[in-house]
Amino acid sequence: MIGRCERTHAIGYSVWPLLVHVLGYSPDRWIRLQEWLRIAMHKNKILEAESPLGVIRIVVIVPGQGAGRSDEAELPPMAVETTAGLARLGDPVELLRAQSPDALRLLCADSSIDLVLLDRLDIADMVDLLSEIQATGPPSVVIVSDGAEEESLEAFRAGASDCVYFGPEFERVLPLVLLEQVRGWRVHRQKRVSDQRIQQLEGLYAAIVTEMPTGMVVLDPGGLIVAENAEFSRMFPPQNSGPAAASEFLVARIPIALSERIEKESVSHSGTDSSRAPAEVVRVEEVEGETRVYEIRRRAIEEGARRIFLISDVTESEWLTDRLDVARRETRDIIENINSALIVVDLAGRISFANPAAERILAGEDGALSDGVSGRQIADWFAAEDEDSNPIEACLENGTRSRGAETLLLRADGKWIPIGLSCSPRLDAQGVSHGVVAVFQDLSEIKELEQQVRQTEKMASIGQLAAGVAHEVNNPMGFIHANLHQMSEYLGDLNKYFEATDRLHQVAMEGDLEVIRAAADDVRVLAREIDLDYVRADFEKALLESSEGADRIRHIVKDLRDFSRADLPARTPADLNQALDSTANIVFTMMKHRVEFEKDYGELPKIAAYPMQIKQVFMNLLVNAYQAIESRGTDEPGVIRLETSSVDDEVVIRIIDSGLGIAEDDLPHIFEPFFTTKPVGAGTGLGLSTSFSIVERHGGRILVESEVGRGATFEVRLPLVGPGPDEAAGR
Amino acid sequence: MVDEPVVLLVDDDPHVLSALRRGLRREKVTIQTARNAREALERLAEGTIALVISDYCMPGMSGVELLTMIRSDWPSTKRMLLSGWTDEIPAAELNAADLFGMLSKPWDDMELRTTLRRAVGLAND
Repeated sequence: MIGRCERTHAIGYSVWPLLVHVLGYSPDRWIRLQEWLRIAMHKNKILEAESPLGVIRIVVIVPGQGAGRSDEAELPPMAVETTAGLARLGDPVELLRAQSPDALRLLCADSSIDLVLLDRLDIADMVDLLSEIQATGPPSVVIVSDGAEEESLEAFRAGASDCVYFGPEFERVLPLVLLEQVRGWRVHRQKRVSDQRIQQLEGLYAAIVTEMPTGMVVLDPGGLIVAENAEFSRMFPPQNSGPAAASEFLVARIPIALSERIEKESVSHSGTDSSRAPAEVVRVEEVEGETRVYEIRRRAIEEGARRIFLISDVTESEWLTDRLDVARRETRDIIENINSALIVVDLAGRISFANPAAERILAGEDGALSDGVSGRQIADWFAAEDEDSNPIEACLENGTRSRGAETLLLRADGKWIPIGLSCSPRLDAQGVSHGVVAVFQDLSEIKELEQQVRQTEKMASIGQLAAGVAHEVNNPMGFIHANLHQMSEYLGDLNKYFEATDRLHQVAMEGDLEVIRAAADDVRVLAREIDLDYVRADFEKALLESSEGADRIRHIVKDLRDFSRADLPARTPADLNQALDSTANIVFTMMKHRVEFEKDYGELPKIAAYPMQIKQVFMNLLVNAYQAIESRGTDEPGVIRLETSSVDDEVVIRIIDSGLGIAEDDLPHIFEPFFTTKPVGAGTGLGLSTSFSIVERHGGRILVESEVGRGATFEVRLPLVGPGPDEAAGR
Repeated sequence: MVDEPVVLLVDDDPHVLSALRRGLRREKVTIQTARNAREALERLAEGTIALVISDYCMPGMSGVELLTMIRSDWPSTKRMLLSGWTDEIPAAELNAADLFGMLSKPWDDMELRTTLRRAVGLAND
């Protein structure tokens, strides 16, 4: 009964059992008193002031509807008076009929049911059904016959919420009783729902506080720990376990440095300030010398009576942040100090970052760019070679990576420089490009060195002809030198002869015949002595031969000088037959004793080329051919066959030797720098690699075919239309 | 004249031969010339040669090879090498030819004559 007392505000039945038992008050009188009071209140419009209830759902049970009855159609009708009473409720009513005690039980479990109305059942049925209505179920109102005191008493005992006499005022009393019960029930039901909500929220907060990875502690004004969560206990374990732990002071639990900070802050923060304070970071030196870092948030609650502290150990995240900082600084240091230029280009083709090396190169010799590099288009600097886009643009367009691509860059000072450029797209974790990273180097110096190497190699190839040069110069020098000596002897003899003829001429004038005869004899004897006829004939011959020897030397020197000369900066139309022939002539002059040349020159159009570089290629191939013939070690002269032809859009030059040939193992390496099969000092190992790069620069290629013991064929193919004007890079 | 020693000059360059002959025209020797090793061997086969002066660099057979061959076939014939590039010739080859003397181009006529006279056993003036 006590449970029922809690759920309704109607004083009737809550006091009723006491009245009955203690005061001997008659239920009959009590019910009548109540009915009278209700009508009086209604008349005073007290009840009507209440707000409408909406649809009221009432389960009605009438006699003859006991256990086992299940046929709804045969349910007995409600009394006319009951129906009239319900109609007076004012609010719409939904009537439900429970067919069985089980059905009633189910209906009562439905929280939307407002009331159960039992209309004049016999006592046993009534008591049974009331027991079906659970203690937490809707209120139940029992209608009993007028003055049936015993029945009403039974009803109250069985748990009925109220009773109504089926008397003269029934139609007026019933709606008032029902409304009162429904209102009370609804208020109770709502409270139960909000109680549940509060319980849920409390559970939620408790779970959060328990599970959150932040230590939480609540302090009273004296600094005593009132409450703490699991994380706080884990971070700062209680000194003394057991129930006393909860009443420790905070200062006893946490490191001194931390508590000092908290106390100090407490002074400066007014206790009543309930607004959220910013997080403070506290560093605490631990015993092992390790420093731990805590982040503290505080909040005063209950008007400053209590304080909540939230403490996080951020040592690890602080350490990670530091590491990240260090890594970032390292990366920045590297990027800013490497000699390679590095730029980052966004998808719009603008430079979004350039390291100092890149800025230096882009700016050129005039120094810093007045308006900086960032934000400028890469097209301002990077050349589009021919019609193709430059490597960075290609990378932006379709993600093509480049490695060491040689291209040109227009510096801010207006000078084109050759650069080696590598670039790759900046992809995120999903593989989407966000731009391009490009690294490049100024190749000017390297190109210059390459040119020097090329020139040195050219000289070295002449060096290999040194023996031949010496021989070819020494022979004429030898005979010119001897002839000069001889001719001065001739001149001495002739002077003696001329003196004799002078004297003869003199005495002839004097007219003494004897003297004249003697002088003439002297002349004749002298002529025989100096072998005058021979001297006269040979003097001229010696002169001619010497002058021819001098010519030979002059030619050799001219050939060598022509060959050693550097190229003009630009390509010039070159007659390759002439270039091949003049080079072959040098080789032939030097090597004629061992080699025969066969020439089969076709008609060639002139091509735009660096003729000196092309001649260097020919010289290399011819010297190699000659040396291959030499290394056979036989006496019969070798043959170098030269063939030129124009095939489709290419000029083809073949140099075919009958030398030793190239070993199969060596063949893949012959164009590699420093690869040589010649004895130390006989070759630089750069001849073919230099030739290869020269031909490549002309847009052509070198093919080789060889059989050991049968000789080798080198084929140089050059396109009629050379690559674009790459003057700066090609030099 | 029949008693004069015969000196054979071998060089592929006729102007060299003619200059040598010019320088030796007053020597009491008979001069013969050959343009290459094959011709030289023909001359040797034809009659006694006191001295062969050969160029080194010649088509076919080198001067040293020729002189080495002469050493074995005509041991009494003296051998001299006249070359512009004597450094390049391996010492073993030179030893094999067992030379009486070596002259380098350009040569000095006086030196040539002196060496030649010693080789053929004539007194220097």
